[in-house]
Amino acid sequence: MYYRRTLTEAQINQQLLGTVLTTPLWWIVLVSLLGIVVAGAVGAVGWMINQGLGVTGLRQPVFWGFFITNFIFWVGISHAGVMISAILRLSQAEWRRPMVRAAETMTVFALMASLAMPLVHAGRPWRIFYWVFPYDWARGIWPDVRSPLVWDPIAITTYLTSSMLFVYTALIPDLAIIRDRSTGWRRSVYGALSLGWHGNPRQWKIQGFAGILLSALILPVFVSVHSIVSWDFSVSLVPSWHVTIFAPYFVIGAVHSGVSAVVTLMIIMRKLYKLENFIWEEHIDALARLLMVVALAWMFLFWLDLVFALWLREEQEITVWMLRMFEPPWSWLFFLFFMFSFVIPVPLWMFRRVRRSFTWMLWTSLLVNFGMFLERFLIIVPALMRKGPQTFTYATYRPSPVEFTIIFGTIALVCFLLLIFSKFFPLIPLWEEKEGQLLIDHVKVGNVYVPALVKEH
Amino acid sequence: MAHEEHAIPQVPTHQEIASDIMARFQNVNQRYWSWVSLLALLFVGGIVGFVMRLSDGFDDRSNWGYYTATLSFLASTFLAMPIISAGLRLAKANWRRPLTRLTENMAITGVLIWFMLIPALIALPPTEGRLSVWFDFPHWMAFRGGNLMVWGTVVLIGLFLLWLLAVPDLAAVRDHMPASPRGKLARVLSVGWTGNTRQWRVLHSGALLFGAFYLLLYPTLQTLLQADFQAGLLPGMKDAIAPATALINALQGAVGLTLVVMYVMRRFGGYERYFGIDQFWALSKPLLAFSLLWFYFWWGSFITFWYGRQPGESELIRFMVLDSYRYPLMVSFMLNFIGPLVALVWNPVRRSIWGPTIVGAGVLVGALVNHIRWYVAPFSVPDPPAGEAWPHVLPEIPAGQLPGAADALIVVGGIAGAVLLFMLINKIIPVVSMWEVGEGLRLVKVRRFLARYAMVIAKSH
Repeated sequence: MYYRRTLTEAQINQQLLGTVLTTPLWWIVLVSLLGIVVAGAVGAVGWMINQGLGVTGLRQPVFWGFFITNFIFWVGISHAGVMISAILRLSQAEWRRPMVRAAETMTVFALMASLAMPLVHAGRPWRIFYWVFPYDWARGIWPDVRSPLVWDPIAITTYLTSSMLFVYTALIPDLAIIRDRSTGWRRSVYGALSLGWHGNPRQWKIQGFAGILLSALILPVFVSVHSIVSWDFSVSLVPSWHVTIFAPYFVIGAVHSGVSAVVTLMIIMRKLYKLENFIWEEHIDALARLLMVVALAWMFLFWLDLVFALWLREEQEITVWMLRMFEPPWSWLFFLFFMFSFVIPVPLWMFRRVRRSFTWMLWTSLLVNFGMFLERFLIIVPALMRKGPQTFTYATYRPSPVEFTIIFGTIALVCFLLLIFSKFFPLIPLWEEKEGQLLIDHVKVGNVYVPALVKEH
Repeated sequence: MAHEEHAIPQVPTHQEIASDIMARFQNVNQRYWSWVSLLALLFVGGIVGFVMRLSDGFDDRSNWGYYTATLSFLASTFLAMPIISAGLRLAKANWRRPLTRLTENMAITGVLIWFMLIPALIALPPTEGRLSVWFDFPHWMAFRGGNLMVWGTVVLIGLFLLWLLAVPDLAAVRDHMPASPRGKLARVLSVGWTGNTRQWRVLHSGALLFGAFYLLLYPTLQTLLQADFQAGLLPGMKDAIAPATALINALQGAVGLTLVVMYVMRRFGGYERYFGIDQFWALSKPLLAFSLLWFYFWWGSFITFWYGRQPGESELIRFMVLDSYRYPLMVSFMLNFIGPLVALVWNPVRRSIWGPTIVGAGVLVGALVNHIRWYVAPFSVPDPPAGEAWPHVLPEIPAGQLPGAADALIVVGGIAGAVLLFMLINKIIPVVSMWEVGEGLRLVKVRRFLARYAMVIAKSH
């Protein structure tokens, strides 16, 4: 049952502010290790800029590889924040409370990682200049605003800005609590950030209204981001990309991987920060149920994509799908993708015991994200290898060590930033937890007390 | 600051609810029979229209476009309604309780829909030489038999759910009206229900299991409907999103129809205490979401075709969007997207009885018009000359097809037939579930919360 552990406000403050007010040794070790990996990735990027894109595996005809896969992957992960926070807030799902902050924060850092990828992919990051200004000053030739490639950065930066606003708005009451427990410069900084919050009824009213308003406004942005990413592909005529279903297929896939990432994050957080009093089996169970629904919807769209790809019986379309599904090494990757993102986890989640096991859920959620990374890779590379009848160079693509280093670097970067965030801000919102405690009750049905929630009359 | 008094919410007893619903169920007045007679008359008119079309045969497929549009409209509104009850039950939404039976009773219309499917399937050309989701699956039985089987399974599951979830109430009818014909029928249908623990456990498990089956199978029905009755007849149509679009539109239609029926039951059936502001408010939110998704799915398809600019795509855009069927699209665009968005974005509108009802009624009209666009258009595309394979590009763009007298009779008669079946079943199975509402009452208590009284609602696992 929900909220079986009743905590006082003091206990909530004490337990959730532990990491903010103290610095455990494991945190220092972990941040250092992740920092080394990030530094390695930065070094790899520097090396690549110095040597040119030849140090990657990108060759004619495959010019989109690991970097673009990773870009889509992180945009996908970023969908967790809004999915968990905005939708569950609007639908007043009570079990959202311990996970909203972490999910929203992961959204912000995942978006930062994703935004870095096109810059890295360009090989010459300063070329971003031409996305904003004319290609040719003399003749005033501007980037084509009709291209989704131009919409992409606009959508993602809008999403990033609104996500940061979303995180910040929900942080204000907690910042005031930290302000009241800090001294010196920290008190000044938290004081400034908390915008004079005292928790009077008017402030709470505005804060609540802002949360609902931002939730509603961010939803279209959330949907548009991955839709635009999908249109990068579907508006082209590359076989297997030019399909109408890509927009919802990408969005649902993003939610699938994003919510799985939240499961992973929650379980690791619970272990590292000793949050057993806040993250329970019921929360992971609820997320697993949500994942089952999302996975089934994703599978329905995948099935439609496959059936309608074969529908017109066009040779090139069939060639790409045959390459993906039946020719090694792509067939092996396809098998792994399909097993990891659906066949293994979804049937397992049907068992209550699995849904309530932190170990099982950790591994299955990791599997999903590994599978979903492969899915994006398989959408991109085989299609480019056979993108047209005039493609004479049937070369393959193998990611180079430089690319692997940069990819691992982005994973380390997101973890690193999350750890740094947790040092300064609580990963579970204190006020949400307290509000949740206030709304709980029990109703006696027969001889059993059933957990219940207050509903305003 | 003025002191504000808050009344203590009154929670009725199970006994009061059961007595009230039973009294309304037993009452079959003159107005009911008048409506039944009128609907029966319209339904007979529909049969006349059908016979007129039948007399022309199946050679000219364009004659069957409006018939198929009616079929798909019914399948995408009436037959989609049990999804609402199944989905809300899985989500354990407490506010669902008064309206689940209403949506489940709509499953009875599946019988009419299944019989309507047969002529529509006969009107389809054989799959040889044309594109089909059945690919090279041999013989015409593939798509005809396959469709009949999938649609039949959906209908049977819907009827089974209707019966299963009505058994406790049928037992109540049996015990309250033992001598009447309805009571005797209820005796048979209630299969010896006494309400012991095992029976309840079976009922709850069965409801979840078959509800999940319905949720999983209904998208297949929509996929076949789109693939066989639309995409398969339109040269160059490669629209993978279409079945998902149809599914979303069906859910939007189902919610719209639920709102309209709730309003009618409130206004004319005296069910105000069951279909209250909570139900309208709660349903208006998914209606708004589905309306936004209506645009999103339509746009996802349109932008891909627009940017693709391949010959097949350009011709289809001209046919379905810009030329022949632009007015139906505009009507649907207004009623299924713009109207709901502009109205339901406001909480006072959502939190009212009239707001969601008007929007729901508009959604239904828009859905009907959109189904006409979806199915009349492909049915008006002529077959290629004998011996030639189906082209990948529309050879010429047919003009928009207006309904004839027979078509109008079929559209009105089909809808009237479905409503008629719903009205009849409501006098065999109560339109509000006594046991489900009663169960909900046991999960509610009133407590003092800060300066007011609040309902506390239990949510068990």
